[in-house]
Amino acid sequence: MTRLNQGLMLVVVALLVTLVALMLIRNSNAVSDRSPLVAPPPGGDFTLTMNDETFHLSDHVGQIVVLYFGYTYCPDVCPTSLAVVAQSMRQLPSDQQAAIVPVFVSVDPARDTPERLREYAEFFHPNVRGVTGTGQELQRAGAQYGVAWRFGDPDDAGRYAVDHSSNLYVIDRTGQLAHIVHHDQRPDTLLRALEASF
Amino acid sequence: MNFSNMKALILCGSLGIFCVPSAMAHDHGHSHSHSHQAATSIQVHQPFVRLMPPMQPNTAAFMRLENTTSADRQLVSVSSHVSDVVELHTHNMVDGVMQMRQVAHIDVPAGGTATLQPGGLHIMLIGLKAPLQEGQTVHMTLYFDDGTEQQVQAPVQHPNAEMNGSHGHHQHGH
Repeated sequence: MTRLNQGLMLVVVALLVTLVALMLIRNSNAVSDRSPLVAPPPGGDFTLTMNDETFHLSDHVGQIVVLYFGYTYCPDVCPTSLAVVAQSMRQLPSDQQAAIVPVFVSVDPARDTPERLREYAEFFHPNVRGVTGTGQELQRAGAQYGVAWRFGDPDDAGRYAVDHSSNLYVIDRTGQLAHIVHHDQRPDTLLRALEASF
Repeated sequence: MNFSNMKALILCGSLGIFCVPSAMAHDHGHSHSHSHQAATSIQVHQPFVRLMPPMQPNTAAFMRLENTTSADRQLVSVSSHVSDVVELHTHNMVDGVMQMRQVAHIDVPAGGTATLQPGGLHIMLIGLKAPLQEGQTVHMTLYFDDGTEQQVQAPVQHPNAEMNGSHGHHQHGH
């Protein structure tokens, strides 16, 4: 083998080693700051259909998505979370703000019509998208992001609450789940996660 | 006016106004829900009502309750004209899921505070009679276990204006 070939091989090997090391490091920087005993959810694209509108998470590749699962009749947790998102966004320069799309996925399609979701979303920030889908689509999307929810019993007036996990999923510009901000970690954690996504 | 009334009024005149209603009540059989019911010893700090998106029928009120006395107190109910129903609620994180549940009372321990904040204890205003407006003042009456009450004027505030202080100690510094 010539010296040139030996040199090239060394370079290739070095590159491979670096690549593998980087992959390992990336995986060990947990997507979530929580215990590594729980594997982070896979994330990824999903589709939600509402009447004649279809939402694909992949529509937003190139932008940073902050994903949240809740419902508009949520008395406190959801407005608090969306307000935290809006507050964090407003601390960033306007060109970065423009690249962030908060997506509010309602797990309550029976009450949360597209119109209601639109009104709800824009109350917090013009960039927020409010979407919902069929039960099956929601289950699938929820499973990809490790979201749990449970419908409560309706009262005499037909009102019901929904218990649900409350996490903000930061999806980077390639569509990958980059960071999970847990309910008790906001708001600075979200701001840092957003800044890191640029 | 008979002699015993006069005596009562003179006594009350020198002791302060709180006696007057009870003297009156004694004579005229008034019920307990007089607006001059003895003010509670609980102090209310930074009350606010959260503005919600326009079609929302419910919202929440938050505040800090401080008990500077040496007796434990409980907030047992709240009334307000802005909604059909007012309840006390809290949140519990159970198995990674946030559950909101009604509570019968909120403890304000002797020499301590109870913090009603987003994600935790709060007053729920259920069935708003009309959409609230930013900057509007909501009047509420807090009722405590010792029969005292406290009037609260809470401004309506957009959630985007809520500070990190809602989570406790943390104030914006950067």
